[in-house]
Amino acid sequence: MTDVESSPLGSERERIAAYPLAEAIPEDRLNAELAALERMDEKPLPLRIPGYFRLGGPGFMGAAATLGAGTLTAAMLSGAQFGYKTLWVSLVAMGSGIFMMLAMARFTAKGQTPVIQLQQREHGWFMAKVLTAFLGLVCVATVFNFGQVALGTELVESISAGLGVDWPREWNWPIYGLITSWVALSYGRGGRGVYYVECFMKLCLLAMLLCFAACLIVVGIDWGAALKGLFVPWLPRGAQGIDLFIASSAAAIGVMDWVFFNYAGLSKGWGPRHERLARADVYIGFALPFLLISFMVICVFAGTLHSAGDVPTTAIGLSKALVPLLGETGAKYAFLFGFLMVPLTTTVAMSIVCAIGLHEIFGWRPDVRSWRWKTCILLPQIALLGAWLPSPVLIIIVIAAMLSLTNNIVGWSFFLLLNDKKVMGENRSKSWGWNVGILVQVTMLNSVALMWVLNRMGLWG
Amino acid sequence: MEFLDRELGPMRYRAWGLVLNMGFNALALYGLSRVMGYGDGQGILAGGVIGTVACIAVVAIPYR
Repeated sequence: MTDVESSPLGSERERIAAYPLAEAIPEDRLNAELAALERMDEKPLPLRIPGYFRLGGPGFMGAAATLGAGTLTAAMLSGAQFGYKTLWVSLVAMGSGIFMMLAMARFTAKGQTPVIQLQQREHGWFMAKVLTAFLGLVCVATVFNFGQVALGTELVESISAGLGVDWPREWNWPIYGLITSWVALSYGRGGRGVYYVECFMKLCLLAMLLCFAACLIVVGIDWGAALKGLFVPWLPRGAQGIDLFIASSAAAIGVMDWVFFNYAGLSKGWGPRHERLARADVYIGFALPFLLISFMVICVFAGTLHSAGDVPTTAIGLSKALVPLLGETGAKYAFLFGFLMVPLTTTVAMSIVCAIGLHEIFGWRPDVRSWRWKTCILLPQIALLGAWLPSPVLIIIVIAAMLSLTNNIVGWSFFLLLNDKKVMGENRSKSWGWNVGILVQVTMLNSVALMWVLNRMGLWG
Repeated sequence: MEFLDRELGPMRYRAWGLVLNMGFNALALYGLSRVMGYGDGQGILAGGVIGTVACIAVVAIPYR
């Protein structure tokens, strides 16, 4: 690998070549961003934070992707079933997952090659194209989008019913498809395409935060119980507790989040001098919204549906059970609107991820103006069928099982790449603590795979 | 610990360490299922946990 730090000018040219989507960004804008970063670096940390919010992006995109129907359902169920007691699990999930995200920040800034291409060069096509691109990106983006569409169209129906308009999901899906397709197709178009989509994601995350905060103000919060739930670990007894811990902490951040951060960073033209920004983006853009939104959702459900007897187990059922408890106030609309941002942003992110994954599988050069890119980005919209048809449960189960069995192997691959002197040169990991953090998450992912196998053998649960 | 980045067969020692770690993870989970289901298997659980911790500690040593 070229020592990118030794030749800053050369590295800027390499950076633009690292991923074709960055080529649309004018050179003077990239230089202006680097100059702004240099000015920021002279300031103390508190004064740098607004700049990180402004210049960051891949972290926010990742948070918007992760905070989908699945993660929010888990948070809602956790609050409804166990109250505040399992708040600490999201801290553990982010605490263990952040080390791999920081590895992605390093690959993005200093690796100078998209991670799937690195994997293919060092670990072969099966690891790169099958386990990472096909299973980890394309299958996840296409199959799990059914849940996003089902939730999004149901929420549009609920909001319009509240406004006295009968607009069932069978008829409102075109607006959902139109908005998400338009935003996803804007990614990388022209000099500001990446920037506009990042702004959309940031605004949606802000809307989620404000809406869920409004609900929390109406519901109220037992601060004593919440603080205890955050810092004193508790789990239900037996296998249920271990299942809950391992599934919630290991499944929150996975292959799609890792790879998406890398490609979103390269699409912004990030290079060696962006590493500090990339790391800050992991904390501020990715971890902070994830933690705040998970905290608020768990607390809203802990303060309403907890101890209310049998609770529904789906996102739609849980939101329908919650809405009457918020009373005839704006809070219920705030909840529904904030909740609508969840599937909207995830569908947009999954569409982009799907296009990235398919282009890597077939070795195509990404060109956002080509019909090939547009077709790939629209592939997850096949889930619009979910507005009429039930979700393809069998396919979802098969894909989820294959993911459980392979997420950890992809984690091994990235850990080995980060520690490979031939690949990363002087930019390889030189920190034992960082490596331990990554290996803790890998061990949790191993446990998910093993529990799946032990379950099938009748040795677990 | 330079040996971690030497090859042993098709993979480096570091990669073999990851495979070994998964073996210890399996042992720990099997031990845990025995403890929860039948009240025995504490030795298997302890062996799995100790092996996992040792594997992580060694495999995490960076190439300097």
